[in-house]
Order: sequence, then structure tokens, then C-alpha cells
Amino acid sequence: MPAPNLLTENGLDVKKGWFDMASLDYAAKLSSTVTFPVQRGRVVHVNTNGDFVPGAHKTSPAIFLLNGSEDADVSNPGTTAAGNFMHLAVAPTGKLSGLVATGGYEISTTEFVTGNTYQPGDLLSATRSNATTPASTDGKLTNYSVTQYTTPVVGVVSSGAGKNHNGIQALSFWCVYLPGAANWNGVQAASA
Amino acid sequence: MPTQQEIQLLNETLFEQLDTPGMQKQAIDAVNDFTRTKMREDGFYRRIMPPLTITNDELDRQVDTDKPVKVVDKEPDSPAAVSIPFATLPTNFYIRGPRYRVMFDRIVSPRAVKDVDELRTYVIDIRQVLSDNMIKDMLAEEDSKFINALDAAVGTVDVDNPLSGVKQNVTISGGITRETIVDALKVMPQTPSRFEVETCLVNNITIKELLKFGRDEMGGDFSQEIIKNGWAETNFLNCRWIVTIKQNLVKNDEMYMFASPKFIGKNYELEPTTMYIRREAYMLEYFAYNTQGGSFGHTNGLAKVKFV
Repeated sequence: MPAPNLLTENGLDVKKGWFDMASLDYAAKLSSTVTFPVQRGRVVHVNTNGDFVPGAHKTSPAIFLLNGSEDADVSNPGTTAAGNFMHLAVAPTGKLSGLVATGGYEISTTEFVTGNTYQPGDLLSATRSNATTPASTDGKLTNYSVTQYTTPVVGVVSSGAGKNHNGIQALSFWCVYLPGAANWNGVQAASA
Repeated sequence: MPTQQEIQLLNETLFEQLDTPGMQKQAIDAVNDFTRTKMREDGFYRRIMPPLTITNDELDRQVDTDKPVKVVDKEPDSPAAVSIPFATLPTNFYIRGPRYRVMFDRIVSPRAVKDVDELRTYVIDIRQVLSDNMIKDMLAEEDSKFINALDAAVGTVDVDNPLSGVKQNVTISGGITRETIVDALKVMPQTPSRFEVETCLVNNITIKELLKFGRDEMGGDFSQEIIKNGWAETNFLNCRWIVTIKQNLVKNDEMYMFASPKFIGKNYELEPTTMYIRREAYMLEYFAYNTQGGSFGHTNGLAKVKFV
């Protein structure tokens, strides 16, 4: 039996700017190219089909996921690992929601590259291992080799990284979206 | 049908309730009464799988999520009985009942905002305008989710369903005739569960094909009745017929068939449709929402045909 996850292991706390009826959020399904679980707090963008894909994009604003793809209000898989039928869900439908980086939020997220050192004011982008094929490590915040006007910027470090109130490493940042250069190759490494 | 004076009185009452501190609840209740009635009448998902109200106490807590979840037991299969000679003992089987989880999400209407002074000029029943648009959106979403799951459950057209081993999504040639409809009703009973069709769902274009049935097909005076007065039957061929105008969900010449809801699954309503109304200074905002969860626990009670 797979070990259960703690409720607090993955996710984001929105320290400022949410929730309010006017908050800018967005809901969509994951792209069918994403075949792995996407955790709460990961960075996604909207592709040309209107679906979420993990990682930053040069023109599509970053979105910070409030739900993970396996959350109970997102999916209810009814086929066992062996391929047997258990049930078929009418709801939920697979839609996730998240906060759009152009909104005014200070966020604390567990989904960042923990090996890097973060200073207030560091620019942040989101990992993306390949321009076309999503990988399970995509969508984590990193400050590695983030160059203004070249790499798409999705946030700026506020107070930095440290253990949050649940004892989980979290990075605090202000979200912002600065598109990448037209010739950006779509790959953002996590660290050196 | 209320008179114009009555409608204006209703609108004034609503505004008074919104104006008076502590009276917003009454204003919301006034709209909610209407909302619930329309929902029951209009959504075909709710008519096929009536929602069961579920309370907090009936939810099943999970270790890895704080989202609401309900675990439902499913009837277990059992080995077949066998004939044996004397002095032979029966084989054993250990009792294990399968279960499945129903999870929930929320349906929410768009949030409308309006300056109240502009609303004052309306002479229609403002409560009906407020709730109608919201409910139409919510019903469309609810029924759309149901049809999407249904299409997944019945499987690929004219291919054996991997769960039942027989076709549950069938093309039937010959148009819509008495013979082809009866053939359609044979699809579901051929599954291993042998369920009979209890409910048929078609759109309002497809049902008109039945109006063409002559006395020899429809049966005597019934043919005369529908040619005079149109289709008003809810029971036909020992099935309950639901006719929808949502042609984008139920296509022309298609028919969905359902066994009794107890053979299909569960549709839980955790939060009934609620209208949120708030007035801040001269700006009014309102939207409707509900929380529902549903799963098909068993798919042999579902079938679909396309008449060509």
C-alpha cells in the first residue's frame, strides 16, 4: 500500500492578497501530455489548447496551483493500478485552479528548488526540462540563471526560504510576470 | 402569472430586504425558494440520478485530504452455486465487499454585478431574472459533466465494452421505427447484469420522429392522440422518457438508456443550490453555487444508441 501524504507536504499559503471575491484566479484541466501527478503549489501556464502545463512560458503568465492534480476536488480515479474498474466519476472533472502571477499576492510555496540560496529581490522562474514534453520535476520555483528580459520571470523573493509553520521548507515571494525573450528556448534548469 | 403590480411589489420587497440590516438572509431565501424548484424541473441528470442529500456526519474522513469524500459499498459478486455428489463439501470464499469513493466539487454561476438604480427600472420579476440566468448556466454544467462521464462509461461505438464484454454504445440502422427502438431496448439487458431499461433520454428533435408513427406502429388511438396534441407521454414502451432541449449534449437521433438509479451509482448533494446576494452601497452582486459529487459505481446499467 502506498504511503499516504501529509496534507501539509505540498502547497502554498497566500500570505497577502487572497482571498477576496476580486482575486484573480483561473481554472483549467491539465494537458493530456501531463501523465504524472502535479502537486499543489507548482507553477503552470496555459497552453494553446487552454490546458495547464507545468513550468514557465515565455508569453503565457504563470499560475500558482491551489489544487494538486490528485486532490479530491480535482480527480477521482476509478481504475485500479491493475486496470480493474472501481467506479467512474461524474465529478470532479479534473479542473485545477490557481492564482495568476499578474495578481497582487505574496505567496509561500513548498514547490521550489530547495538546494539554491535565495535572497530577497532574487528573480524567480519555474523549472521546465523540455520545451515540448512536460516532466514530473517541472513547475518548481528557482532563481538559478534567471535573466531579466530573457527568462520568463514569475516572481521576486520576498522574505526568502525557511521552514513554514508545518515544518516544511517553503519559499516566500511576490508574484509578478515578466515575459521571456522571443528566442527563449523554453528550458529552465533547477540549478547548476 | 403575477400581475405587473405584483411583480413591482415583489421587487420592492426584495430591495427593502437588501436595504435592511440583517434582512439579507430573507432576501436570499426568497430567491432560493424559486431556485430549487427550477433545478428539479430542468436538469436531466437530477431526474435520472436524483441527488441524495448528504450531511457532514455522513462524510468519510481521509488521512491524506481534508476535502469531502464519501465511501460507498458495492454489491459483491459471489461464486456460482454448483451441483455436487453426496459427502462433498462446498468450496470456501472469503467475504470482501468492493467499495468506491465519491468526491465532490462545486458548480458556481458567473457572478453578476449591477448598479441597483439601474435595476429599479425593470418591470419584470427581478427575482426570476436573477435566478434564471444563473440556473441555466449551472444546469448546463451539471448535465454536461453527466454526459461526459456517460460517454466514457458506455465506451467506443460498436466496440465491446471492456467491463461488460458486450456493446453498450451501438449504431442501429433503419432510422427511428418501432422495430429499431425495440432493438435499442435490447442493448442493456444483454450485459451480464441483465438490467432492463427504466429511463430513456433523447432530445426534442429525436422525439419528434415518434410522432411519425402510424396506428400500426404506435398502437391504435395513441397514434391519433399524439398527432393531435403532440408528444406528452412520459411513459412509453414501459420506460420513462425524458426529453431535453440540450441538443449540444444529447445529439439528434441518439438515445441514452438507464437502469434504475440504484444500479448505476450515487449523486450526492452536499450543499444545495444557494444564491449569494450582497449589496454594498449602490452595487449589487449575486451568484449561485452548489456542491455535488457523483460516481457511476457500475456501468452495466448504462447504454447508448445512435439511429442511422
